[in-house]
Amino acid sequence: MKKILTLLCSLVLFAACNMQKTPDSSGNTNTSEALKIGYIGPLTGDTASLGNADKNAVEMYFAKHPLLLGRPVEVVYEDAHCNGEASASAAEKLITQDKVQVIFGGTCSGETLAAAPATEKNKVILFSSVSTSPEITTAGDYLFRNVPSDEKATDVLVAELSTKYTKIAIISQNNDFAQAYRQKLKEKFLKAGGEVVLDEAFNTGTTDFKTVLQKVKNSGAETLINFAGESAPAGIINRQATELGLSLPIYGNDVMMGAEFFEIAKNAAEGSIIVATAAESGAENDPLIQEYVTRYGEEPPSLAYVFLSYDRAAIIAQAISKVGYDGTKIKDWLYEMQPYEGVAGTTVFDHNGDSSILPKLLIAKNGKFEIVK
Amino acid sequence: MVQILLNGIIVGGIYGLISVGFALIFSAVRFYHLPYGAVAIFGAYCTWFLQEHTGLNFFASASIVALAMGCFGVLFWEFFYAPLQRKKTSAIGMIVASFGLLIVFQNLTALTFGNTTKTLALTDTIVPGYNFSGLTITYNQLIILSATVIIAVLFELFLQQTKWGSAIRAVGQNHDLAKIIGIPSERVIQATFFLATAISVLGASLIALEIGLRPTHGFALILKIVIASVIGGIGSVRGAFLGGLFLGILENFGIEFFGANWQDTVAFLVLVVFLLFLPQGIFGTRR
Repeated sequence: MKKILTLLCSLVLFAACNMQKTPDSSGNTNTSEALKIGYIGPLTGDTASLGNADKNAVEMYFAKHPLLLGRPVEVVYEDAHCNGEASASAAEKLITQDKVQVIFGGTCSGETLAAAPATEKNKVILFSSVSTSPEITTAGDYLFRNVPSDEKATDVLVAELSTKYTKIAIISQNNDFAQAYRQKLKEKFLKAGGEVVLDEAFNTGTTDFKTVLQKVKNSGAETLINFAGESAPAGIINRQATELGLSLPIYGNDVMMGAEFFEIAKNAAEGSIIVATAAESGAENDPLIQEYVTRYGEEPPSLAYVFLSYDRAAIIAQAISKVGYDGTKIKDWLYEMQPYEGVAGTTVFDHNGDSSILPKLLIAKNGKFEIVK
Repeated sequence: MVQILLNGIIVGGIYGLISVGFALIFSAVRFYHLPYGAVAIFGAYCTWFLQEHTGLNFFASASIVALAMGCFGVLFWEFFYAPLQRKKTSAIGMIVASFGLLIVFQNLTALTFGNTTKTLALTDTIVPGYNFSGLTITYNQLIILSATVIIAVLFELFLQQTKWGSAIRAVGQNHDLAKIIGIPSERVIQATFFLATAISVLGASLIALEIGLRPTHGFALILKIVIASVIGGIGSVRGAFLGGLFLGILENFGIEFFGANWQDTVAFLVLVVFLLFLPQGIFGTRR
């Protein structure tokens, strides 16, 4: 009797669960039902300053344009703290539970690459405005980005380096982003006839660089490439280099745009050169940043990422209103779309989902990066 | 090469200083107080907070916080370990409980002070270091080296020359015998927790001058401390200091010869070698 009762109870429970899972089979769209869009990025942790700027721009766009297809837009924000595993789980959750067709993210390249298999399999758009790893170019059909790949960034950087120096030293962090960037830079610099006299990688969490910097000092390098994968170690490297009296010019990457870089490196940040997307801060861009400052009480760590993220939201909103909320239709539309004139520049996508926006050389001056004139 | 040795001595000195407190606690209570590193980092955050919000200088802030955190350290014994020991919790139980507390404390630090890096500084601008016949020593390194030497000497004098110092050593050497000859072991353990925590906070604040503060530094620190104590001989206070020194030097030579990404590998390799071939460490007694 007991067994039959248990079996019956299990059956009832099973049926109840299944009933809950079945979507409204009528196919009617409830116009008051929220249109959910996913977001993955580092909202806490070491790269939180970039993640939050990226998120805030999305928030600002949808605060101004709250309706899509007559439905209120709800962005579901997931914190992946720059971690691939967390990002993959967040993508699964957004796709299976929130039933999103579009995910904004990730910020770190590791996040984007880890989320891509799930979005590809489920035909959901994954659209990053910050991840620059060259591997993203070929990581999927449903994967788009409007930030330029490091492939383009290294072209610009090598063009600059090879005209000024013949011997460079590279210090790079052992993570997806920094290693992919380092590899590209090294290949192209060697091809351009330069010599890499020191190429040292360090593990995440390293905080004492004095002995490595001593090696740089003894290597005869004419410039130091500081390829940390996070703002904090980038700042520590600059700081300890100055303390050691290492007076080489320092080139870096876009993690230096994080607030922590300037906070840690202070005056040792000055003069560092990076390659990153930057919108000329013309009059048309200023109101957006002003709005950002009023809303969030601080300037974003990088203006460019706010512009890119804002444009991303606008492009996706345009796509949804044109073809409806369906991953595959949005994908087809994005590949074919007319050039979009946004706050970050003109965007069109190539057959890999990479955009036409180009990076520029920026220099640190008075605690900020500005375009090298 | 001498420059690498110098870098190693400075980093190692600070590992050593912090390991001393850890070894002291171990010798008194015979278990690993793993939240030790996280508490030290929490203290360093408090130093930062005090310096930032009251205008006190670094040394005053660090000393005040060290005293306050010392008292806090005693609470660990009173309200956490002592009740567990009264319940006759096994050694493995103590380790697990202690590890749990480490995680809790690390997250508490993140919750209180946030995840972004905080920087402690003696000067407003970053200045190049001093050059002595080809050797460079940075301003921070000079301060760290001097402070480490002063604290280590004072501590050694305290242990060797004072009544409390002798009592702490006696309890460390033979807990039961110390009790029989009338040493109030409970009070001595409290004093040990106070002293060890205070020293760890001073050490962590000095480290923070170099590398800034992040909640996760607590975990990284305890790993280094454990390795230093194994090298020196578990429970040996002088051994822990020398173990830290040795580790710092070895790590820096590891970077020089094998590359920066081998720094941690070198540290753990040393741990394995010691555990296999010299488990009692340099100064430990063979059991």
